[in-house]
Amino acid sequence: MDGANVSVAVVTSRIEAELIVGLLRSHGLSAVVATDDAGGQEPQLQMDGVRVLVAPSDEASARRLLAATEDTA
Amino acid sequence: MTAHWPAPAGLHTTSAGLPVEGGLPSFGGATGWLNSPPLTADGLRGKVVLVNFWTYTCINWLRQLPYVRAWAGKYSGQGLVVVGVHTPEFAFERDVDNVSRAVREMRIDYPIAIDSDYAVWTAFDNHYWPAIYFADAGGLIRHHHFGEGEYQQSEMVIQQLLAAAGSAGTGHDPVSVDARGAEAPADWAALRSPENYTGYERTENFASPGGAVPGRRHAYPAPAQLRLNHWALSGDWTMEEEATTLNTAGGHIAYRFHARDLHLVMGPAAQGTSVRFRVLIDGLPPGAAHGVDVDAQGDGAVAEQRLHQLIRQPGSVTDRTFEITFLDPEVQAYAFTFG
Repeated sequence: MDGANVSVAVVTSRIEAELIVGLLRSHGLSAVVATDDAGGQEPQLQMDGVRVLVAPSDEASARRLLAATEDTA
Repeated sequence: MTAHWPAPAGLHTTSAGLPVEGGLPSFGGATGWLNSPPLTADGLRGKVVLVNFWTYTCINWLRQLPYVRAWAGKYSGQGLVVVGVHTPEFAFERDVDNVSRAVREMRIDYPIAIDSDYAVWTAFDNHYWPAIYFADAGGLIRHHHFGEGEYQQSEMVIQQLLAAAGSAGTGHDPVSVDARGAEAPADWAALRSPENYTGYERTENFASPGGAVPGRRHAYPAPAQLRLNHWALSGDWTMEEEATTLNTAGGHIAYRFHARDLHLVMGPAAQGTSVRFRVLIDGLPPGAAHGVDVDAQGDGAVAEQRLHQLIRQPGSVTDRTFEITFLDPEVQAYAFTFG
């Protein structure tokens, strides 16, 4: 199985990561969020290093899509 | 832990109020299993299932582990199956030998699915370390919890699902845990330092003059001083995407932090080697503030790729400067975490 284990983006909030995952999935790519979680006990301490992961076979497409999105932002 | 839950208002006697969140996803993407032959969602029908996503260097999971271990011990004979899904954060956590060693040293005897390809993570659409999903005996997810905490609520869910499955005598008393070392609860009231990484992909607040030089060997100078939650290298290091590697003996990391505990995920660059180090806090040996992986003089050695507890302060917590000097080369540092 081709799991999601290549990091294509690191952002500082889960919401931003979710938006990126939504974008990638809307283009047919498999993507997930991966981050540590302290259970909301100290949310201000959990803002760093939220990663968006994709399957290796989707990495190139994901990077092209994210680069194109940045160019139009 | 002796707390009792409030009057049940029906919560202890029925799981009917728990929503159905979907079916128990497949474990079919696991690349291996520890402590068990491969398990399947269909094969677990009739059992209450607790699925715990973890990665062995995650401090948030380490502090949750005493509860999961205790629940497995108390309720396995009453119809609960705990399944740990090890999904790696760092590349070295894909090494099954490392996971096996962690399972052994952390006294984990429940089944572990090795999820090095993130296939089970993806099947659950999970996002977090740690995460717990609770499935009823009919194979339906009825509750989940992300991160640390809410242990009594989670145990109440286990009791409800076991009762609904026909298990008698689960009782209402929560387990008692005696968490030590890195497994002990954080001092949340004193904690002012977030997790930080040393690899260039995710690091924050890197303060060595001239900044990071990604992917290349570089002689880093030490800054004159550090602000809170800033860190710096000095010596001959290579900052890579996920980790920073020391090339020549005598390299040094400094971190200004505010927390009771300081941990560093690190390991030798080559398996089977050991790297000696010396720790100082505010320029002095840690004494009583030493963590479990260093002595009072600040001396220790890193021989395994894992989280090392280097500081646990017994008294008041204030801004302090942590320093670690490696007496041998070829060590890789990954992440600082605090508690």
